[in-house]
Amino acid sequence: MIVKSFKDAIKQISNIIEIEKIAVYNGNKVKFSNFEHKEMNKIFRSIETALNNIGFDIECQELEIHNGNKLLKFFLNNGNILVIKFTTDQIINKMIINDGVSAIFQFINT
Amino acid sequence: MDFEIKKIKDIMFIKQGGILLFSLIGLGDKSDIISSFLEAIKSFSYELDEFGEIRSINLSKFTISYYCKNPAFYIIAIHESEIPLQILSKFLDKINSKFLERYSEEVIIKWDHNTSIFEPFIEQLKNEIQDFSKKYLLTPNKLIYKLDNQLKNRLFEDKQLLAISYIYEDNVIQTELNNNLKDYELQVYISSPYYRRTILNLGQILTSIGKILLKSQNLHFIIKSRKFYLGIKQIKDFYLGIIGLDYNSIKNAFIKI
Repeated sequence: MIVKSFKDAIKQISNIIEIEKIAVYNGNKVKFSNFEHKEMNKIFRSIETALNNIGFDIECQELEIHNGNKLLKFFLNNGNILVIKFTTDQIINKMIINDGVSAIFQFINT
Repeated sequence: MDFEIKKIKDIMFIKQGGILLFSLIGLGDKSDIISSFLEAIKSFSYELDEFGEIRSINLSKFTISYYCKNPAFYIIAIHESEIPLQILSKFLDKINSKFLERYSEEVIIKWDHNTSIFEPFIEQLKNEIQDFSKKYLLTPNKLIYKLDNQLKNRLFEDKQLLAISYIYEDNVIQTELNNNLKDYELQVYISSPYYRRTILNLGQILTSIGKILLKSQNLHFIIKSRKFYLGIKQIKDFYLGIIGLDYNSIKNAFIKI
């Protein structure tokens, strides 16, 4: 995946068929969201709070919410959080998605 | 009381030396034989190793738990084996304190075999059992969950699956560990308050987020950490926590449970 900017990274990952929604948070504010829910800021802050309360050095890297049909996956990177809602419970194009996620994190503060 | 008595079959207070002070259900003319027998088991256990405040002997259909905290007397609970010792211990702590509020150690030492002095306490004890039963054990929809042994063995056939815990909102925790779990750091983590708090906090927050963003009620969560995967699922009034080294082990366990 060749990516030139944050906007480009979002566009490319959004085109992957199994991705339904995406939102990105840079530890301070929501940089992008196409979720219908308007208060994604609160969602990200509550995830941050929960992770800060874990204690112990378990170093959370990824977090998934399953309902049996769909998957909500949170990717964590140095205080940045990216959440993707998938149309299925299992990720098929894992490598392309991981590339896209890395690209978003790479350009998140540019 | 019948329903409650199913789980706790009897509570006995026995004077050190083996004389029965009283029994909740009343033992009639067998009381001396039974209390002497229980005293003998206690003495024998003491010979085997150091006897702590609480010690249980599992029999085929029920368990006898000894609570020995006072020089003058000890308490025996005869109960169904499924009551976790941690919960029973709290309950026995409470009734021990209530008993000492009414009768000093000196009263017990100088006791003149007049059982009627214990009658007010026996009534209080029945109420305490009822409260305990309601809180922890016996209302049909709040039964302490216990993993079926066959299912547990089947789950732990997967060597990557390390521990299964049930965490109640009132902080009661029960954990089944796989014999395979050798990682000391991980064992410490599982037995720490952090683990309990992690599961409760994440369980509650992820449930709320899942309801909003996935618009579903029936959810489970998988967290990837540096060392292991942690699965969380809310079932009725408790959270199930599963720790494994492999993502699929967690997913498969959720399907089987």
